[in-house]
Amino acid sequence: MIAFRDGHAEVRIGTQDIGTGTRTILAMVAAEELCLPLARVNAEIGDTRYLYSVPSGGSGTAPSNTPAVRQAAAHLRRKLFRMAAPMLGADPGDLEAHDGAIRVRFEPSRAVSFADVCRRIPADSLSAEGERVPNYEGFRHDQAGCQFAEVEVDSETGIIRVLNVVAVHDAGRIIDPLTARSQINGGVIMGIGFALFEERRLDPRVGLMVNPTMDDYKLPGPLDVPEITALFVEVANGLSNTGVLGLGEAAHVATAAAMGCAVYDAIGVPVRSLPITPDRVLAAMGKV
Amino acid sequence: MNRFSVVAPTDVAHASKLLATRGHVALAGGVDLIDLIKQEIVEPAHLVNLKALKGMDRIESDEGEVRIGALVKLHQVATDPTIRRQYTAVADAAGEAATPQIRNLATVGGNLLQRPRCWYFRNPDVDCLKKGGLRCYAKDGLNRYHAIIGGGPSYIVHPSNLAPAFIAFGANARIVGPSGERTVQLEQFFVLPKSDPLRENLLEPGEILTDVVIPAPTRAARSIYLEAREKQSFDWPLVSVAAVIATDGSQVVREARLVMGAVAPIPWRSPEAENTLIGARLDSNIAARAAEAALKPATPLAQNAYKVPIAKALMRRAVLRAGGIEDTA
Repeated sequence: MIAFRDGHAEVRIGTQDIGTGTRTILAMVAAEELCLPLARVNAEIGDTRYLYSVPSGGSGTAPSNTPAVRQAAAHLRRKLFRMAAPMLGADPGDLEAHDGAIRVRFEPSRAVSFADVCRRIPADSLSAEGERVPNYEGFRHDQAGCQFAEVEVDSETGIIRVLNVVAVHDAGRIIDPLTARSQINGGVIMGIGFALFEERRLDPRVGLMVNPTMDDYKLPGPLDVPEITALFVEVANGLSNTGVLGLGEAAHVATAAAMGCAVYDAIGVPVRSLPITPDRVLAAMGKV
Repeated sequence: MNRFSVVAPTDVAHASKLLATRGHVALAGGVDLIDLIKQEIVEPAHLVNLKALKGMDRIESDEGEVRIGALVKLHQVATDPTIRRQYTAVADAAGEAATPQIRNLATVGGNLLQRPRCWYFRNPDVDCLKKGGLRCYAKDGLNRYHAIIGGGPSYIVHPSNLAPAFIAFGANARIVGPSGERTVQLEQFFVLPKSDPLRENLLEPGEILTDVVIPAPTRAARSIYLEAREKQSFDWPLVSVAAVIATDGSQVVREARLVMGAVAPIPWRSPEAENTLIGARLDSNIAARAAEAALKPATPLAQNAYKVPIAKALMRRAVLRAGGIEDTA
């Protein structure tokens, strides 16, 4: 975490944003800890010069990175308090950050702006580091959720259309509802590919995957996407300083299972392999 | 991808002369051609860009018949008011193809002349029958999307959306070549692999498909195009059906032209189904019988028998909907 003389702060971490909103939420966590407007916090990621982070996988990016960022921001805040203390004639331990300023906790009118403190940074910038400590003991750290799918099966052609998916998840504390909903949307859409379309087809005689192109390896498109409703049930947990749990894959994996059950409910027989393609639906119904 | 030069002749005779020369390949929308070059199926030294040719990008009506230039985009076909009204199946076939982006680039000529989508044919590492090799890998291989009718020795399906709809209206192809101009019924234009597995149509070197001419439909005729595909966005049909039906006041079928796409190496017209309907009063039962008749010649491969019930369902629905009858099956 770095504070610059111009009054803005920056998160630097060697993680990556593969479209999940990581960059956004890291800035939000730092902004909250420093009590700064989000516009004054920048997040720099995706560079091996920065401190190590985990790979983007296993729905672990947000729960792994946000506590480290929060800790680094807290350390930076304490350093800034030490600089602000003589300006306010107070003890650093008596200061608090509030709305872009640093003030005396028991006498809020004695305050100095974050920007004024930053101007006194002796060199170019002031930095602090944080780390992701192990989960605090005694708290659950697994995600929980359930999903519901409504599908329509054409019982003559075996073609399935997904009408609605409702995803209810406890992903711990939600940092940004917008990007969290987007994670659900992405997970559900990928889940539809998993459930209905995607299959690597290998011809053992010639040793080739016959569908290695985006033409033959089928992924959902806009018309294949249903109404998606995302509901978050934030159950308080104390496993880290942010209480964030993973999200991306929970929405993905559950979708295929929910759709498999919905197809079963529609046609009266289960289809036991994915993807649930028209040939498998018609075979399950005894029509081939 | 090999290096090539591009020439852009402005008159058809010049283009035809170039295309009769070795190493020259015609370029229109380029949607399929660029793939084919990347897949090393064609390796042309020269692309003959047809887009500068005059008058081939227009839709014109004349005494009821409609002439569609080969360079007309699928999007134009899908939205043209005359085509929508007189030849609904043609407009819908164009509108169901690919994606909006591709429909704004892809041409009518390209849609009719595109090469098959077979995954063995398209794979640069497979030397299949259609590329001059010795065997059709689909026959005993992965053939879920392949032909259920008319296959052998190659089992491709013809990928054109427009062809079945054009054929259902009795359209003709106008062709200009080194030895002049000729007109061929589109129904006779496509070639089964039995006669030549290396080609899908009877276009000769140097010949250019310039127009498709659709005769005026009879007054009572109504048409529909239906397709079944796994994905709703950007997917090829598993089966498509184009139906043109004319009934009289008491719903007796006077005229029926029924063509299936994606089931055979060529657009597959079904005289068996048409004859079942003609003279009969249209209802769900007779439509189902026509569908059975249409799929009687089907001899599916190991993995594509599921296309038979899909084709039957689409055929029955298309007949009833074109005839304006509610489906009670």
